[in-house]
Amino acid sequence: MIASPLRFYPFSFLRSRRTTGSGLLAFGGTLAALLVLLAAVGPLLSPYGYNQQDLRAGAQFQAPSPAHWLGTDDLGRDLFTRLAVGARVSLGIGFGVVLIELVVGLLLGLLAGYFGGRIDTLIMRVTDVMFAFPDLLLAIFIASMFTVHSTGFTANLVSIFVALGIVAWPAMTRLVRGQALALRNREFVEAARTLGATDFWILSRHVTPNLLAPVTVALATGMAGAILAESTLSFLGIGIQPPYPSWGSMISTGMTNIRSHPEQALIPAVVLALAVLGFNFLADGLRDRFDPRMRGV
Amino acid sequence: MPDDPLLDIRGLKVAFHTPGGSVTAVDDVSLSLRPGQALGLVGESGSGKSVTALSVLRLLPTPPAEIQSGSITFAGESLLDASPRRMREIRGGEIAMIFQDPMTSLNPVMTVGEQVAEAVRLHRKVNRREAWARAVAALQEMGLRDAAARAKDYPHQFSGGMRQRVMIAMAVACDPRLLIADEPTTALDVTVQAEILGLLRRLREERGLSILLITHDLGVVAEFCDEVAVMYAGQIVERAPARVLFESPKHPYTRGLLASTPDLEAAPGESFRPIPGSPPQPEERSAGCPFHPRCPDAMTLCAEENPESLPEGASVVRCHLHSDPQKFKKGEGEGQSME
Repeated sequence: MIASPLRFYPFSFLRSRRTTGSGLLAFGGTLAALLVLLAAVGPLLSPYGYNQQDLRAGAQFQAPSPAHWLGTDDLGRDLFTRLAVGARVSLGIGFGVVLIELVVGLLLGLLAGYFGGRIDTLIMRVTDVMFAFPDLLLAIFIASMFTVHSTGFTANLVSIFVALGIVAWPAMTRLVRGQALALRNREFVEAARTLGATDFWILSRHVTPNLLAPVTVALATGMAGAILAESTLSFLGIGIQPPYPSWGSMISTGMTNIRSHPEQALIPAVVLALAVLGFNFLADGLRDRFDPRMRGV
Repeated sequence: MPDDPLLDIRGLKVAFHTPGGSVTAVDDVSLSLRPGQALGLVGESGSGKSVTALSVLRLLPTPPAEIQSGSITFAGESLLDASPRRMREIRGGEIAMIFQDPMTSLNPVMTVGEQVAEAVRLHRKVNRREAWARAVAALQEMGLRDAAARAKDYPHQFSGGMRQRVMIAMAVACDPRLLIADEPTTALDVTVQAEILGLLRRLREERGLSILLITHDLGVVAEFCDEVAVMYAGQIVERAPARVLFESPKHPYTRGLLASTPDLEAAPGESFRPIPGSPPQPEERSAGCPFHPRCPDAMTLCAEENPESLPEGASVVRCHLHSDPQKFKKGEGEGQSME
């Protein structure tokens, strides 16, 4: 018997975006949730301080054991504790950078895209200039300028926020501007105008809600990017300063002993990769889920 | 006159300034609409119908558009002199508009109830709960079954006809006096068209709503409107009571339009005769009557001089065939002509 053409969908899994979205969302969401869990309760589970050293003979480079779940590093510090505190640093910086990106990008992007004209030209030329710099070099430049002079952990954090925020906002601004440009000519915006809506009303109730889907996706992607960028800066020694742990600086320290103790670099590297992967998957999953046309279908 | 016009447009001229030069989209358009009346504005795409409508709401993007001359008076108030704040009160509060495509005219990420409630809240000082209640009532009145539950649905969950009902509910939520309907039924099935026209007719009768119906569908006009104005290349070439226009069209363009409408009773092959040629692009309009290159009755004069709008019987016609200087003095017309 010949299969009915109505039933035979060999590539239906490609078209069934809802299912695909749910899978990505579940996987990415789980990874992100585990990361948050690690950051939130990880340091509480550990009896060690993140900078509690043990310089007695044999206390360094320990293998995983019930006492040290992931072993110890070159100074005899508990790796799990440092990884968990590093998760706090990574997530905190991720959220901070994404917040800067959101506020600045939304504000400038809406101004440029919706109102157009000179303000658009001005904002877009500034983003062009920002795009002309290589992202990482710019971040390194700014970070090294501030980090050298920063005293204390808070100043250190702020300098990284600034460095990564300055690099991140132009892309978000362009995204929002493009969306706003398309949305301002949509008929429902025109319809709102015929009903007597002000620009502020239209921006807050019609334009912004309609660009939240791509912005959310960009934020989740931006989160992944910020975590990666922070690790890069820390790896290079201009991010989080010792003794505070960061995955980047842990990888950096681990690199010096990569031949004898590869797990010292590998463990934070794998966690970093999983975190970045998780937020990227989360981004894709969210995109499908937030699309209102997929709702209730 | 017993009824002062609700909307009175006189000598409206709108130009668009483009990098390639200025083009006149609407040229010397005069219209008036009495309370409770339905006026059909008919014309091909690009003839200036929508530009005229958007001028009334002052929603043309300026630049590139510029209203160069003329006046628009609504209930005795000059709209061209109104402040931006006053215009926002008028939009939706006194003059509302519905569009051709009810899918794209609704915000896809808001429920229809929220959108109608928003329209209420733009002009009435009510809280969210009250606005929602009014929205549900309005949707119900527009013939949406099970309105309380369906108000929580999103636009994509509605059919085209139902979306147009939602649009109408939004437009009349604050009880405007004039509704501008820009091709309201063009995107709909014929049976749904009839339902929407029925709904508009009911609003006219129950609320005394005046309607400016923009369309290219002469059948819709014949069914719905008291008066018709025919636009060609930015000008109104003929306006007349609907019955008069269909029974004795005077302008050659109107006659051509009527002849190009399929007639089901005619023999196959003879059911309609399209007008040869196509309307001039705004930048190509030459001197004289804009229709003369396509006009079967064109005279030498037609290529030289653009005719004035002059009354003839119940109609006002802009055509040299109907501007016999013996019968009408030149320059008379326009204002006193309407009834």
